[in-house]
Amino acid sequence: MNAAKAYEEFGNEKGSFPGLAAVKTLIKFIVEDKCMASVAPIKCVFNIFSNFTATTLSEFFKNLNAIEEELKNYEPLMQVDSYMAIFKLFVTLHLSEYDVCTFHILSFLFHSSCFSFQRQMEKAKEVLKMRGNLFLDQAINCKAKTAKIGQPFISDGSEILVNSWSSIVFETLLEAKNKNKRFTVYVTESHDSRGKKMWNQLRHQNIDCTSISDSAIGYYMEKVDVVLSGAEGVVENGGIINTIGTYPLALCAKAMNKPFYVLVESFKFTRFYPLNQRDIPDRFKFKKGTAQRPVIDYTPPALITLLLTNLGALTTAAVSDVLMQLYL
Amino acid sequence: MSAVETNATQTQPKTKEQLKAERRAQFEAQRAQQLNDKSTEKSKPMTKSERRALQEAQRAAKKEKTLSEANAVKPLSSKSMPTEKSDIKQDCKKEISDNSINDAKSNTPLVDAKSRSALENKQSKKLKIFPHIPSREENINICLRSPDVNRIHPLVIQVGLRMNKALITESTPRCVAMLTAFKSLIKDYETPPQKELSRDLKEVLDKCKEFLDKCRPLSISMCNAMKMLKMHLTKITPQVSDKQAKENLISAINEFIHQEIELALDAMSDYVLEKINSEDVILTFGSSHSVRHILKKALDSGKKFRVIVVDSRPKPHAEDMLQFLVKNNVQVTYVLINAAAYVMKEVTKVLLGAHSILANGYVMAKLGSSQIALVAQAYNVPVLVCCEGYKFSEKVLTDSFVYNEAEPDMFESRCFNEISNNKMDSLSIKMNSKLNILNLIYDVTPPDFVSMVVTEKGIIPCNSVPAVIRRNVTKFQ
Repeated sequence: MNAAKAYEEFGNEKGSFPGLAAVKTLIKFIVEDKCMASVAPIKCVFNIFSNFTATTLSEFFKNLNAIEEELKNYEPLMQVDSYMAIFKLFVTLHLSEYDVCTFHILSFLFHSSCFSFQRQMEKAKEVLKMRGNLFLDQAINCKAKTAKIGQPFISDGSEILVNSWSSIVFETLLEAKNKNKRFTVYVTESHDSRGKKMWNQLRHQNIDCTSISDSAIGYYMEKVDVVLSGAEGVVENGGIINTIGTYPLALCAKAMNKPFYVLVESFKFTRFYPLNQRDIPDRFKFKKGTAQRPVIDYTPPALITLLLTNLGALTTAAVSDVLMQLYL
Repeated sequence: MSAVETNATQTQPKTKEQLKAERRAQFEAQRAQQLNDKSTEKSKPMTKSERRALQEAQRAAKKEKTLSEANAVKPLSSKSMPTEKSDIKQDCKKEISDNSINDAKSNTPLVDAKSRSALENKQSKKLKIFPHIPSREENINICLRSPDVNRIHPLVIQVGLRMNKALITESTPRCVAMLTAFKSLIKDYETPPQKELSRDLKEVLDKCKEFLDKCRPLSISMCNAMKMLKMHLTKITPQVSDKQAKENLISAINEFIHQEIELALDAMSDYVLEKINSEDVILTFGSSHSVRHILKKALDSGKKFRVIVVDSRPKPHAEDMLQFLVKNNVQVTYVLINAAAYVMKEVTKVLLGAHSILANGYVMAKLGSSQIALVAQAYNVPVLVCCEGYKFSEKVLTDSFVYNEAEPDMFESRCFNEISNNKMDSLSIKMNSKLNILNLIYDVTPPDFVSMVVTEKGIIPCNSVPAVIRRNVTKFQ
């Protein structure tokens, strides 16, 4: 991701359109804080909407949607979708109720609709800010929580196969290392040399690791104890969408009866349900300009042993339950 | 009647025939005695249906007798057989047994006992396998003769009879028909003096339910609609005036039909629309109201796809679907279920309707659906099951024998008649005495074979059905 270049590109443009500002801030966040790529969209949305000058709620939502659109266009990742959806849900959960109640109370108190309306908008904004902050805290914290929940699955002396770069897997391994566990890690190279990044980072932390090519997973699978993977998104049936190469890895693990654990924050659960690889929307599948070379694939739930999330270790079937609670 | 057999007995030496008849007569007499003993032992008054059945059997026996007499008078020629065949079949196809002519000829006084044993045979045949599986009452007059029938609204009776004669089929139309009948029932209902509306109306509805259940065992959708109605009924306090109460109930029914059925169908179609691409080859099985609705919407949106309609025997159900598709200028292939594996190679999506989805994620659908799903799974084709939320059931089944419905009139169906006109006739009669026929209506498909379930709440995996049911329960209580 050549974010710095993009930042320059966008930084030079001028405009009051909130979506543009969003992209700018997003890139800024990504440049500043590399580990927090998944939280970056939320952070920037929050940053922007706390500065909103919207005077009505509908205007507010219009702006929010515009930002969302722009972000989705710029960063066509599953997680942006899921984060935005949950964020909107979470932030605005009590808004409608708040809206009606306070409006009536305030207008009754002040007998002036104009005055009360302004007051109410301010109140609503406050609520939004508060809930936005809460959400951000949770989003940032849940990575550490997930890493903690992943600990029992890394036993001392084990050999671990890791799929490409994933910040959450990295953190989990780091935490295990800090607990004085000894283990060996094999990292698949994956496309875009994302695996190299993982390898570098692990080596930097003095963790014993080997970089292997993707075609070698069959060779290494018989000697590893556990396979760990991150995910860009968790779909409704508990399957995951992740960098290309995850599906064959999971298939191979299944064939050799090795546990395949997916480390993922519950914020990445989305109400999206692909039938097969073909059914994944093109905007996720293909990077801009590189048509016909998919960068992600879909791994069906049957191949996943457990999802290790901040809510605990979940079976794939539990995902839809969590989603139902969230959205219905 | 079997020409082969009568001819055979004629050519056989007389002594043997007589011996056989004698032995039979003895056996029948014993049987009859046993039967009488039993009935005296019990000394229980016969129920109405039993008496009625007996009467019918006797009548049938009489017919047999006259027929056999006619046979005895006329020389048995192969030419005269066909007309008699059809006569017999129409008149007493159930009671007739293979050797009745012989019996009648040799031993007329035993006809009564014989017919009674035939009756018992018939009952035991039903009882032998899966007695718990209900099937519709073949003789609707029995239902109509119950003492409570005057409390049942004529429209409900009409709906019941139509369901019995398979004029209203499929889960959704049946549910709507029932609710519409209940609407007029409630409209015309007047609380008897010194009675409470909510209690009395509940009784009436229970009677209607019983009647409809006899006409044809209620579908799960109808049971759920009933539950909804009763829930609204219990909400009515004695303080509410009758007029208001009736209005509330009718509006509740209207709302149910609108929200849970009509809007749900629309929502489902929208979800499936996202999954249907142009140049898809869609396979459907039988004819489902919701699948038709969904395909219609997909066609209206301008998507071009091919459809393969799979049908099964003994009753061809997919005719509606076929007609609908042909009318809409869709390229259709029509195959029987035997060819499912053959056509599955070219299929990109399987779209199935469902009778119900159970709490363990199993899908209850028309018999044969699980076979289709299995084949689809083997060929890696995604299976979409369309089912409205109100059809979900909190039952848990893992096979089709615990809870099901049997179709009684397998022999009346067209396919069977086609065969029986040629060479199956003797076989079909043999079937009556030797074979037990189990013609189930539903089967259950394990969730492993179902890729996704389309409901009005979105496209969900099978295993999140319990979550939806839980929500439904909280909504309806």
